[in-house]
Amino acid sequence: MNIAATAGPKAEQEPREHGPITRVRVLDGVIRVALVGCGAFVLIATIAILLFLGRAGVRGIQAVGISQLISGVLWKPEADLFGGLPLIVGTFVSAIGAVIVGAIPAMFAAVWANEFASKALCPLYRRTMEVAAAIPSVVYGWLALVYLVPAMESLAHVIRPNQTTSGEGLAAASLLLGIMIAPTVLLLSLDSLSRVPSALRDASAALGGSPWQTAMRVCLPHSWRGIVIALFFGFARAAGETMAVQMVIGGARKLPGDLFSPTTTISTQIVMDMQNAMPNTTGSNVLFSMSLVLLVVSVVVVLFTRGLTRQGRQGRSRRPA
Amino acid sequence: MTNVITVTARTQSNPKLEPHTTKMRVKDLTVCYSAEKSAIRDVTIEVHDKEVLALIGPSGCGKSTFLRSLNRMNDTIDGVTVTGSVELDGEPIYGPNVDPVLVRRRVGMVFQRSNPFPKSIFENVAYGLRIAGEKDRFTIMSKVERALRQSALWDEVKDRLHDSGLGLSGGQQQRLCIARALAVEPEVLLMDEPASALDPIATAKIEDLVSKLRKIVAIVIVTHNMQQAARVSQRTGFFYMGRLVEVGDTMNLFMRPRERETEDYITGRFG
Ligand SMILES: Nc1ncnc2c1ncn2[C@@H]1O[C@H](COP(=O)(O)OP(=O)(O)O)[C@@H](O)[C@H]1O
Ligand SMILES: [Mg+2]
Repeated sequence: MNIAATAGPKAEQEPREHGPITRVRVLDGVIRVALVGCGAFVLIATIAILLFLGRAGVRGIQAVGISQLISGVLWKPEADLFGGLPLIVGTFVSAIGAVIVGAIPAMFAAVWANEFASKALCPLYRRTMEVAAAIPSVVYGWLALVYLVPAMESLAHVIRPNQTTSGEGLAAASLLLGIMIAPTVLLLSLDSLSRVPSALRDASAALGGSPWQTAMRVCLPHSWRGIVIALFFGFARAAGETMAVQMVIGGARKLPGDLFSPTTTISTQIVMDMQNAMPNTTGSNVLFSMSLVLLVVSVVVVLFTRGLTRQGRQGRSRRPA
Repeated sequence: MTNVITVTARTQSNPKLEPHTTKMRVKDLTVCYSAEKSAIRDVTIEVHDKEVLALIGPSGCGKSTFLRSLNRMNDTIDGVTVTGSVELDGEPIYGPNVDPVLVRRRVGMVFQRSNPFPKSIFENVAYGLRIAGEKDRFTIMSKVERALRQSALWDEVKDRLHDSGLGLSGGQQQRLCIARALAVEPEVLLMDEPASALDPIATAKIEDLVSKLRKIVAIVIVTHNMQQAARVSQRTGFFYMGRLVEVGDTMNLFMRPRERETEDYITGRFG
């Protein structure tokens, strides 16, 4: 594409004089350069971050060794001990816990809202969830610190009366993350369910399908890809969440004895250690190695959802579900 | 216009009609989508067994609304109120203890636009059987085959039963929807302009099918095509502005309409 071609349609609206046409062309050229500049800036920034992350991360891995980084159980930067297992376990267990206690119920709530709630209630429900999804995570974390952690402490006393606990740990983190990701998962699931053509619902109802049968046999099969994408998206968000988790996880740099013992996660540990980590030291590079783990999670989720979306588009037009 | 309001439906007696049994009896049926305005008002009509009853009338006169009230499909729309009575074999389908889901298993429906599930041809037809709790594979297979034969689709699809129903042509898809409705052995089949989105050849096949099917199921068919009503039906009802103006033997209605509105409509003076 060249500037003249871009300016063509606009130029014709102007009087056919030399002056205005030139001015329009100059303006188009400026805008075009500005837009290309914006696009290039974002791209270059992303590539720079990835390169930097990769370089520092690989150095960290080289310094500590991949096996120690993944399976070592002691994280003590001040003693040059970088066992990353507690961080990895904390991140994955709390995120999987969040999917179980938050995302999966949210999925069924979406089925309820779309298939069973009245036409007046569903939009109201959706608005409420949009608000919930927009609340900053620090607010969730704070509320959890004030209410959820004490509740977990009481619960822990009931479940295992002989041990003391503060209530901080994976149980609190999972519940908090579950509550945090539920609105987003619900909204994404709702979007997917609302794309089920009403003609298919009518067809099922007219054949004697109960609302529940229609939901399970027509609506969910039609929208399962979107719902799985929603669940993965929720998982990725839970795995990356930092601020709120830091307030309830306890910050103990070791594997937890149970769900009510303080532990840590990748992102919260990065926040805690980064003040003390001089650039280009092993301590700093290892933190980037750990964030590579989070990056891999995100990339897997993105590739997976893209694959599902593309498969869905093809399947809709050809293959039977 | 005032004339329309005072008109009530009259059933023309016709000695040539075969003796019939009443399958459905509708009395003073009024359906409102909102409090202010009724979509159909005081409709009284019978559906006979082993007949095709055609419903004609200009767009928006309430034909679809009426049809959907015969299998309680209007219940799926929020805010609809239905007054009057509809009986199926003498039992009120709007009774207090009646499950609309069970009504719909006895009164099937085919829609204006074919709407097969994004499943295989076989699973489309088996759907109604499966949700009714049928588990036996042999029973399902034989009922699917019978329904596909009844809808004149078997020969065209028997070698690709496990291909997607969406891969069929428009006319085939509509016959698949008819097969799907027939598989659960309904007693009445409601068809809402089933051929209006199809080409003439596919339309002819559907019409042919409708004429044959009345031997196994009573059919109520909405059509905006008067020739179609004349070709397939034994009786015809004319709707106008939410009212059933008249209903009677199809030939009589077209040759000797009782009401002025009917005559105006079939001679093409409006609609
Ligand atoms: N779902 C609906 N909600 C509100 N009004 C409706 C709905 N469906 C139909 N109507 C109204 O009811 C009247 C009858 O419509 P319909 O039964 O579809 O007529 P027809 O099938 O004869 O064209 C029309 O005025 C239409 O606008
Ligand atoms: Mg209609």
